[in-house]
This record gives sequence, C-alpha cells and structure tokens, in this order.
Amino acid sequence: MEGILLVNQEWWGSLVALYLFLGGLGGSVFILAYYYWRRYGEKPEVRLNALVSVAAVAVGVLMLILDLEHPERAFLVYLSPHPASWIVVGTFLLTAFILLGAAFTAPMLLPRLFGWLRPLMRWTGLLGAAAGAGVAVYTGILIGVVESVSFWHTPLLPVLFLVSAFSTGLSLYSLLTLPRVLGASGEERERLAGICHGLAFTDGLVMGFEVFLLLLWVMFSLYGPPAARASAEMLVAGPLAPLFLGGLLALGLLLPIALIFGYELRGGPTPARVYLAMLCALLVLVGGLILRYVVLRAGIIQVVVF
Amino acid sequence: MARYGMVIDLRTCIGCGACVVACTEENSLHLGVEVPLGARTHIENIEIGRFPSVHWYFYHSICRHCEDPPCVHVCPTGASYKTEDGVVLIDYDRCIGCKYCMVACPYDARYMNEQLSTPDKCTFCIHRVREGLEPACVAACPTHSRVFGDLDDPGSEVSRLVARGAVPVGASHGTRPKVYVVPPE
Repeated sequence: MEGILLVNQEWWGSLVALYLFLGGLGGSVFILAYYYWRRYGEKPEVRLNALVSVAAVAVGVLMLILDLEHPERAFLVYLSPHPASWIVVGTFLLTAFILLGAAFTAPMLLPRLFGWLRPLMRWTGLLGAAAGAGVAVYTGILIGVVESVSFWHTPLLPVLFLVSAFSTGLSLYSLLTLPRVLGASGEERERLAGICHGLAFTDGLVMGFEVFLLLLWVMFSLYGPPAARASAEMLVAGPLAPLFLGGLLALGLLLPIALIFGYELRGGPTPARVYLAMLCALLVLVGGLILRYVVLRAGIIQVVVF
Repeated sequence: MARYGMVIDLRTCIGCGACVVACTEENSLHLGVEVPLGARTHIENIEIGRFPSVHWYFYHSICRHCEDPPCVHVCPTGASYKTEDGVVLIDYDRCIGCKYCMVACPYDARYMNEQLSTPDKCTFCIHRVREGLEPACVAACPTHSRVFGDLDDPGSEVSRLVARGAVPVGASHGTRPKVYVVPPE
C-alpha cells in the first residue's frame, strides 16, 4: 500500500491565470482577424481586432513577468535559455507572435509610418496566425506537462485550453464587431451581421464541444489517482464549486449556448439581439478566465510518503 | 565522480527532529539568511493503523536529488541544475522566480526563500561535503538514522543499505530519487 500526502499548489495564482487566459484569447482573435482580413480586406473591425489581439498577449506577458519573483531578470530567458523548459518554448512563441502581430497590425494603424510593411502582410499574418495557434496550445501544455499535479497531467488539458481559447476568441471578435452592426446600414450592416452570425454559430458548437471535454476531464479525474480526485472534488463539491459550476459551466457555457441557439440566431440583427449577443460574448470571456483560475487553484501535488 | 545519495533508516529513527534543527542552523549560518525551521527538511509524524494496533511513521520530507529531476527539466534559465556528483542545486543569481520548479517537484521539497526571493531547498550541505564533512542533518542524528555517501561506491554504507533493500520513496514518479528509506519493522 502507498501512503500519500496531498499538497495544494499555492505558487501559481491569479496572475498566471490571467496570462493563460489572455494568451489563448489573443492568439485566437489574431487568427480570426487574419482570416477576415483575407476575406474582406482591411475593414475597421479587422484593424481593431488585430490590435486588441496583440495587446491582449502583450498584457498577458506583462502578467507573467509581474508574477516572477525577479522580474528584472526576465531577460535571462533569452540570454541563458534552457531549451528543455516549456517556458523557453513559450517565450519564443510569444515573442514571435507579438513581433509578427505588430508587423501585421502596424500598416493598418499607422499607414504612413509602417506602409512599407504592407506588402508583407500576407506573410506576417499567416506566420502570426501560426504563432497565435502555438501560443494558445502552449498555455495548455505549460501546465499539462506538470507530472506532479495529476489533475493537470492529461492530454485532455491542452485540447480543452485550445478549444476554450478559440471559443473566447470568437466571443471577443464578435464583441468588438457587434457595436458596428448597430451603427451600420445597408450592405455593410448585412456583412457585419453575417460575420457575427457566423461567429456566434461557431462559438455555440465550439462551446458544446468544450462542455463535453470539460465533463470528460472532470469525470476521468474523479476516477483517477487520489490527487486528481481531490482536485475534481474541489471543483464539483468543494470551495471552487460556485465558480466552476455557476460561473463557468452555467453562466459561461450553458447559458450562452442556450441564448445563441434559442434566440440570437433565430432572427435578424435587432438591437435587442445585438445587445444580447454582446452579453453572451461577455459571459463566455468571464467563463474562460474562470476556467484558468479554477484549474490552477485546484492543482494538488500527491506526495508519496511510504 | 561520486553519485551522492542518502538513506534514512526508519527502523532506528526516533523522530527527535535533531536533523531538522541542525539543517536550519547550518544553512542559516552558511547562507547568511534565515532558513525557516523545517523548510529544507522536516519530519511528519503520520499515525498508521487502527486502535489498538497503531504506530507512528516518521516521514522525512527532503529533496531527493533525483537522477532525472523535474525541477531541472522545467527551469527556463538553467538556474536549477545537477552537479557532476548528482546533487541538485540552485544558482540563485540566475533564477527569475517563475516557480515552475516548485509546481513541478512531486516531493514538495522546495520552499520560497523570502530574503533571496527565489525557491530554495536542501543542498545535501554540499559546502560541507566538499570539505570532507557530512551533511549537518547526518552529523546531528543521535541514532545514525540518516546515512550519506557515494551510491557508486559499493563499499559505502549507503550502497550496502540500498543493496539490502532500502527503497527510494516516491520512485513511482519516474524521477529516480536518490534518497532511500529503510522501512520500519
């Protein structure tokens, strides 16, 4: 028989959760911005979303740096990198993303200054989107590889984080596009409403898949090693249950899914529908942040004592 | 090169905590900053069995100086590293304080050194060992329950205890720990 002690990890908290959220979010929004730029060209909502995606990741990186005990030494990750560490892989992905994202966004925002980057936008956009996908996956891998925390150490986690990142990305893109639907008219209104319709429909499906993954992961954990079981119990019946069941599952996933398929997609872009769609998007974003927070908080290390 | 390891003999350990106090004293003096009591090594008294057949089990929490240390693997700057003689150490000046090592250690062997603002842990008293002395906890143990030595030297006491069945507790994590325990009888 093996004797164990369960130790709650207390080193990674809110700042890391914010980073995990913003990293996945920014990466996904950039992919969408690139996609719509290829489809519609340089539209105001594309410009805004591209800018916000790069800013989100940059703020996320700032959170990571602020979480360091020695933020003034952060540059050592460049100067003396230990390549086996996922933080090093992540740092280079984040750097590549921010540089490529900025190179893609700058000619749209400051055409006079950065117009010379315009011919490269197809490539900066494509490579930036690839780096964005990398950033989104990396947030899940960073904690998914931690063998000591059985709740995190599952291949489901990076997939769940990627799916959630994509869902929050769809929500943010629509949140930043929806206000323009109300102000636009004619064809432009049709175009913007069409985009938001597509985003909401996709988000509904993605969130359905996310609910499935989430339940699968919690149930596997409940049947897993004692530490994973204790973690899952914190989420479904312990101190994190209000956040997990209420904030994430009910308000951040099931309610938006119900509103999207039950009301939002069942008619034209009336102001009521637009405002409701904005509320949905906001709920999904808050849910995404809660997911990262509760996953970190529920991390339990199983120390074998005999 | 030596391959340092430790054996803790729970047949003779009386749970007095001399190792814990000696560790704090030695390393606080050596570092020049206070090492909180029990931060680098401590003993958990675990009750086992059901009345009337109960006994105490003394679990020694300490860095296992793993052959395949997850803390070294995840460190982004190489601040956590393994010496040639198999001791896992921290280069405090190179540590950025990301705390990935603390999350990754399956033995909860690290603590936050508040003065240095970096993670910290047992060093096997490498500063003493390099001068031919034993680690402070080993020297202080009144029942000779902590034994330190070269696991590659078949004649060393640690090697003999390992050959006679001392077990690396927590080896199921696949890290190949180098702190062994002789289970109580």
